[in-house]
Amino acid sequence: MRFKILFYFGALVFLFAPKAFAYLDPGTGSYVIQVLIAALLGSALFFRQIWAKLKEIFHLKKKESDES
Amino acid sequence: MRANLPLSFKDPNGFIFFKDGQIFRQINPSYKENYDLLMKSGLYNELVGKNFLISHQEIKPGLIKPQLIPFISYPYEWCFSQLQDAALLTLRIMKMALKHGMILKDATSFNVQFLNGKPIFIDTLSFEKYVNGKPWVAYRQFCEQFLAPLAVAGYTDIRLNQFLKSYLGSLPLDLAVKLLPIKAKINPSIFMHLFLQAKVQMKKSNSVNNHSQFLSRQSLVNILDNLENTIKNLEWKLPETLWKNYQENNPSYTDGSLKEKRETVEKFLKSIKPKNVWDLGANLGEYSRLAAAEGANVISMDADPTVVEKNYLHVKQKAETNLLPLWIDLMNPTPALGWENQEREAMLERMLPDTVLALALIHHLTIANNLPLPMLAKFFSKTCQNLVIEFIPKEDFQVQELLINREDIFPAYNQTDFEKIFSEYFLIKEKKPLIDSKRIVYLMKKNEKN
Repeated sequence: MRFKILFYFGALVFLFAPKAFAYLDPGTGSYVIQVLIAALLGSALFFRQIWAKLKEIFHLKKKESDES
Repeated sequence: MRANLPLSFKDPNGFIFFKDGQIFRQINPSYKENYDLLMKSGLYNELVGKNFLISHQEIKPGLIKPQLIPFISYPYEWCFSQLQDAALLTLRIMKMALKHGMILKDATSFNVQFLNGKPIFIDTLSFEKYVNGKPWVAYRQFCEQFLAPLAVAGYTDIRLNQFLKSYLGSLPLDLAVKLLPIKAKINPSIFMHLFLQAKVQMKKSNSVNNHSQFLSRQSLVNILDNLENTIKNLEWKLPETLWKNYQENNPSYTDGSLKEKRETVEKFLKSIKPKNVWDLGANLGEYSRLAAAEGANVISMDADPTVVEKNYLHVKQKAETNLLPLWIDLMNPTPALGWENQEREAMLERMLPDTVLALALIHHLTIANNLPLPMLAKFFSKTCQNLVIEFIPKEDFQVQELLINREDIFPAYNQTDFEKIFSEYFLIKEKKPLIDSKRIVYLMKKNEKN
């Protein structure tokens, strides 16, 4: 769920971006959208990694407090 | 005799032609560099080794002879899993190509055929040298030909895939997104590849040059992985259909008559020794499998995509090699499509069988669809040499069901007239009335005079 929210936030940023992303040449295929999707996939991965890191830190803290 | 295949006109790199019943592919000098790369990079051997790509023989430089596909089928004749498997094959090939420094320059579903029960890529001229940083030229085509129809079939209704006939294998993205429910939109990958892409497509601005877009190889692989996972996760929940109930509680047969029907069909097939069989109205393919067991190549057709899906899953599960289930409605068979109606063949223009199975079929055609028996007999005589056909009389439960709410306008639908009408075209070699049933299974052979 968190992934989805982050994802839509990311997608919105792109949707309302200046027209720089808005052209598609129907003859050659959608190059622009691929660059955009790669960025979305990349940022999703980035946020997921941060999330995993955060979880790890909290987990560690929890563990430490368990031990003490 | 040499004839170029009309569908080749789209490819400037070569064309396919038939000569003396064999298929050849000419490779033009413009494609030589890419062809050499395909062969020398090890990609060809790897793909052929995995049965992903059709193998070929090199006749001379610039001329190859690909392995022949016995029966060409089209994406609008495939069930959900067939289209899904074709999509996954295309992506796997693209990923393997990328490892060898090549890409697929087309991602059309027509480049996939079914051979020995599995999808196989047939266009040897689709491979092109990968240019570092260049996005995938066939990405949108892939989405239109595979992802969009699969998503629409999975989320909405598989019957919408009949649109693939209207758009030559594609489902335009702006149309696809109108057919998809909100549920599909909240799937991030479907949102990106279909909704976002359709949105971007709609906007028009000349401010960005497509060719200046840079996409790293890793980013391209990420997109391909994402497409693969998205397609793997799509599923079609099979609806409970009429035919399922039909098979499970059909009062027209007892266990004894079903067993006898099976044995009769088996005996008839053994005497025919068929090579190519069409099983029309095949349902789950029970009788198709009897023909396949005799060594025939069987096309198992049904108008209900649910039973075609189940039939294909059975083929996959048992690794059956000579049975191809297809979603074809005999009352409205696949037409010829494309430029001058010559790019994609009509069902009846493709390789015809020597034997047709028409079991528990004709009452649907004659009673439910008003097709006169003489027209049916003539159709079979144009289609095959041997006919295994089941006559279902009016007293039969299934026919009574069909007649329950309509006037009986079928005076000629009786055993005597049936035999008389079919004898115009066929010689009745054997007939076997089934016990505990009023049904009769016939073995017929086409008359010499016809």
